[in-house]
Amino acid sequence: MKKKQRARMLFILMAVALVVSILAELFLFNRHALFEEHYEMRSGIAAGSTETVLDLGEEQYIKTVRIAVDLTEEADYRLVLWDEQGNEIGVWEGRLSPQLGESVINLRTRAAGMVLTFSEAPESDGMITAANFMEWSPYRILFFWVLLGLAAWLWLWRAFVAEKPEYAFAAIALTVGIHLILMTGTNQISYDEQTHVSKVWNLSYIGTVYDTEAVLELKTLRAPRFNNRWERELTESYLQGIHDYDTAEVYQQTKMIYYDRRAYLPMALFMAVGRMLRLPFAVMLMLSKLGNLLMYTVVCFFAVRTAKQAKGLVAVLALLPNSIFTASQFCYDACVNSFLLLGMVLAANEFFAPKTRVRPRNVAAILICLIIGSYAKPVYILMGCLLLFWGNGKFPSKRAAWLFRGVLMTLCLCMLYEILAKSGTGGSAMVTLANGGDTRMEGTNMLGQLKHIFSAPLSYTGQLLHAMFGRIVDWFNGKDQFLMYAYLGTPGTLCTWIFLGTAALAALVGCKEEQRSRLKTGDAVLFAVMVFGMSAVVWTVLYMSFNAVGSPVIVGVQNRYFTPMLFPFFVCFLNGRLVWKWGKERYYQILFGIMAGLLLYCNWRLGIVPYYL
Amino acid sequence: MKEWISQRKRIGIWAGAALAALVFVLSSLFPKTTYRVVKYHVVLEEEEQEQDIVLTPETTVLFSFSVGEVNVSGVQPCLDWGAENCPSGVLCVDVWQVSADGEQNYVGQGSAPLNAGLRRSYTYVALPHEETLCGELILAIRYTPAEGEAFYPSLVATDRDMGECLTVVDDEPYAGDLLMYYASEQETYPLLFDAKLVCLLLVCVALTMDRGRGKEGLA
Repeated sequence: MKKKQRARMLFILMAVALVVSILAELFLFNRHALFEEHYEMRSGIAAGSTETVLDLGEEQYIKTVRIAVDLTEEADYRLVLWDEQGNEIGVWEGRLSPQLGESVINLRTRAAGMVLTFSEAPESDGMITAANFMEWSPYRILFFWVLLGLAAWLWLWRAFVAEKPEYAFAAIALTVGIHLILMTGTNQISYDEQTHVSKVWNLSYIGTVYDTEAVLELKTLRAPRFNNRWERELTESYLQGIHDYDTAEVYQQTKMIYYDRRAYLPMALFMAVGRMLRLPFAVMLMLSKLGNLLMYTVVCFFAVRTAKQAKGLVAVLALLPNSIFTASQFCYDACVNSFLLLGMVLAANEFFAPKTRVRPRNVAAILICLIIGSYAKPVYILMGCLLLFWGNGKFPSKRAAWLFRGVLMTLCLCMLYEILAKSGTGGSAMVTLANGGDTRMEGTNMLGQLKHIFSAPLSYTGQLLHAMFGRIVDWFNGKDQFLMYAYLGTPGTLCTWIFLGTAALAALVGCKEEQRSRLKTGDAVLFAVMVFGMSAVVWTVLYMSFNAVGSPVIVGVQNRYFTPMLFPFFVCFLNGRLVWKWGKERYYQILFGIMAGLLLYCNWRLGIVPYYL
Repeated sequence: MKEWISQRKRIGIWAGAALAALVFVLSSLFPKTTYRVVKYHVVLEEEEQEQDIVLTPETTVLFSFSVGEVNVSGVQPCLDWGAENCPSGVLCVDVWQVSADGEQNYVGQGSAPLNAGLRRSYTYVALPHEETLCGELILAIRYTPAEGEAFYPSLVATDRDMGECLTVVDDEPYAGDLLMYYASEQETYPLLFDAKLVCLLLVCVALTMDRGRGKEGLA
């Protein structure tokens, strides 16, 4: 099929996909509104009364229940539904925030009446409203359109996808990521998001910072959360109302951007653009997240493009659901994961050509990627130690090779030392160690923990190995979840199996049309040692900073910390023996089909179902 | 021609590395932590009871005052952090003693965690000193928040009891003039760190370049 024909066919299929999505929205999710009566029934909530009854008379389909009452502090409530016989058929519990003054429950069930009970009697009157109505959810429609549209594109353009898999990666990452951004809105559901929002907001200013009340609520995790699209409208309206620069807190900050803030630059830039365009508050936040996603997509695009081997593997790892999620939220992981992936891909390219001299621009690119990727987490610079093992043949002379190794080690040590003693402020490493430790955990002290480790090295080694290998086993037996959308939850252990299986497939099996060679045994061992070593360093750093001195267990190690090590791990399994016999197009169709399906399943299960269904 | 270009590129890389090294060496030899200082004399308006300064990580509040012959063993600034917050950071106080000829001699640093049990409290910070610490002093008060902490306490100047804002704890209560210098920025020098990295990175690149035999360059 020619290109023009394919484009026309794709356009037609996208239009069909949109129609199908709208029909699904109508007949699947709105069938009760389509075939049953629309109504709205209310009952007043009396001040001082903890219990309110709403009798619908007969059993009816209830789409939503809206509770509205002015409060001065948060109030828990309980909604009990009953059928026509008066039997209890369901219980819902929730919390009313004083900021919104309303809570909407997405019921979607039949009942004849309900009783609303507050934990504490409200001081003012309110209203409870049950309703059934037609509802068009753009998030559901978009989800199905993306699902069908991606499937159509991967099918029709399979030749292009096979030739240029980096474009397929970008298409999937952007569509799924943008869908995530649109779904999550102003909800703060990522790790330590209040800290990241604070740094992004401040970085979007030069010099003078204006903290509106809306921004302050985000910075202190006091902003209301929504549980469905009606509450989302209330939340966004509330935040927009208090996003007033006339009552902002104004203060000065340094104009210099210290290295540990640079990972936030794309987000800060888009935030500043949103502010200049005077976009609504919620839209400005989403635009800022889009900046993060675009940065991640562009860098990983080049990682797939520049990979000399196993492009499929690089694309699969770049489409890790955890990474796409953190790239769609306020989080510096996108910068860490993308630049380290690109750096490791470029480094691996050199290992695959051991006798070819390394080009200076490649060295510059690798080091720049490692440095930028380590800005937010300097410990990852140790991955650069792989370059110490380039053969002398890669350099102009043996002397140059050894000098390079010395200078590289110095660079790694400089970055590591900066954690302890910031050069700009003349800090002291010993003071940092003595006072360091995450104060969220009691009894932490980095120096004390270091002394404990050295006082019982064998015992600590046993503890460390047990923790490391135990965690890997737990990923497969369901005791721990590798795939996580932070506080939204996990799609399940089966998805972990699917992801790791797909990555293993991409690593072990290659297309005969593509160049495939394995690492030399020594280099493969080196990569494996590096992965093991980095993992041990991550566990140890967390033990020192987040665990009480002498703790028998190591807590606080999150699975996302191991994402940069996935590529060096899987690259050890590249080989030229296992060959895919069913064509390059099918190979990439399967890889991208599985990853797109996995990502969309995560979006459905963790985004659509709890919030928009 | 290609060889000439390649050689020039190699020289350029080494020159860049040397320049970065020079920036780093000079910054290290002449270190300074500077403050963009705004003089902020605490003058409370009529009926105004207090003013406060938010202690963000980039903010340092400098106090300059004279205690005469009184030996200063510690200071007790008053800080406020809002009803719902529970701070777990550390308050640090650096102290300089100003000699008769105006030279500022750094004495040391004291630090103490905030008392999270109260919304507002006076945090006592012991100051290090071997002999008596008296005469004209300069204090620099900073707050280092805990990881993930998103709020900052405010240093409070109050007229309920001026001495309570910054109480010098020892034999006699402090009763001098209080001229507060509000440092709105602590100018860190990320360039110092960047100069190191740039220098080392350029040296690494230069070491992979051929010595003018022509073929390997940045092309």
